[in-house]
Amino acid sequence: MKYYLLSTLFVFVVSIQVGTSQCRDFAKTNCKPKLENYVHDGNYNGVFLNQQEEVELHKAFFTGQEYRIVVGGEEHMPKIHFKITDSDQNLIFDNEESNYIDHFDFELDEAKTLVISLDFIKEEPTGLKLESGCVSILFGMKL
Amino acid sequence: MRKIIWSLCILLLFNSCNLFSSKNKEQVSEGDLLENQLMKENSEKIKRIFFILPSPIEISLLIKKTGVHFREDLLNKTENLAGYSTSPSRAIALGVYCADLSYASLNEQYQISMEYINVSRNLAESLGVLRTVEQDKVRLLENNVTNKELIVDIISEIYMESNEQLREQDRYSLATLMLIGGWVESMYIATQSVNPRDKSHHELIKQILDQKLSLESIKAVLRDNQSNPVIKPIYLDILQLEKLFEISIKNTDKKEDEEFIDSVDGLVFVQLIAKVGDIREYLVH
Repeated sequence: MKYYLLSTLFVFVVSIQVGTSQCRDFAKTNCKPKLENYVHDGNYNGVFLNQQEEVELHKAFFTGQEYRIVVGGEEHMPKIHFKITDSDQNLIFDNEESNYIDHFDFELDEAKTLVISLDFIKEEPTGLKLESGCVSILFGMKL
Repeated sequence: MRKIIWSLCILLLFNSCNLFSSKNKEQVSEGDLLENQLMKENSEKIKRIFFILPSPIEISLLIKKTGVHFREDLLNKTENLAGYSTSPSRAIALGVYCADLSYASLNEQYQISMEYINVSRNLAESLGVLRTVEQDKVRLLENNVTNKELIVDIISEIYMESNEQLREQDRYSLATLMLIGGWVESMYIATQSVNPRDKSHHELIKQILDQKLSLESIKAVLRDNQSNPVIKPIYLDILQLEKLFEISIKNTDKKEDEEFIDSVDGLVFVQLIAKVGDIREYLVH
């Protein structure tokens, strides 16, 4: 009984580990190429997202630098809706207005903390699609 | 005697009935609360919030774009490597060397970059971080050591893999120390490169003071690991640094023709440079 419980726990822990490393591999193979001529800053922001969840990232961005934000989700999942606001809640970008494009390029006039919030789009019929999976947000900069 | 026992039994029976009914009321109210909560969760999505630090690559790029010259003496010497014998000191050193590596590579210091790539990979391995860089990328670099984009790509892989693998191994405090090591070393390079009296350095001064915005993320990351004895003094130092950031800009009405540099309190800025130096000293020695 003791060994059965231990082995179940082991399988559970290993499956979580494999899941998170799969998300990281997904970010490297599927999202990183979308940075194109922007270099990846080295930050990995990957989550296993459910339909009922919303993710919010807070990050400072600086002047004199061209940035690209790439948001990617696994193919079997609904499209991702992401928007960018400043700390005063002023809307800077909403991909809903750009046919749910997966990236946004920008340069700021003054340094700001931006809030990137994302969730799955609500209109998507969920019948054929899984309701959770890897989502990653990568930041790129022009050299 | 028998009468007394019977009356006590009847009293207990009434009492238990009362207890049961009051418990039932509590269950109803708890049920209502749970139902309300579920309804709220269905209407509002669960929000997960993350705070992201600027990476050493990002800060090094910002320093490079201000036009200041590369200074090898600012790097943490590779000879110090032997002194990092504990996991926390190695995690800090990994962040520090990643920052030095970013600074050197973006300034086209290829020989130093190769040396620091090896140091960083060895440090990562000593922390139990495996396969930081794909073998084919290493081979590609060996044949093309002056490919800046490839070197930066390799740094981003070392930084990302090290941080994430430490998190996956539930070694959150080490992952935090690595991030802080990288940020402090980048700030050390920036603050030691600046001459407050040199007009051509005004852009760098602005970039340094803009890093005040990163403190929200730094505090959030440190706060989660505050019970760690290595992290606690760093957290307190960061709070002091935050105060210096706040008072380094004079709190006076800005005139129309006033430039950003006119609003900087020079004395406080010098204290800020010294504070960054102290924190870096604590981290690397």
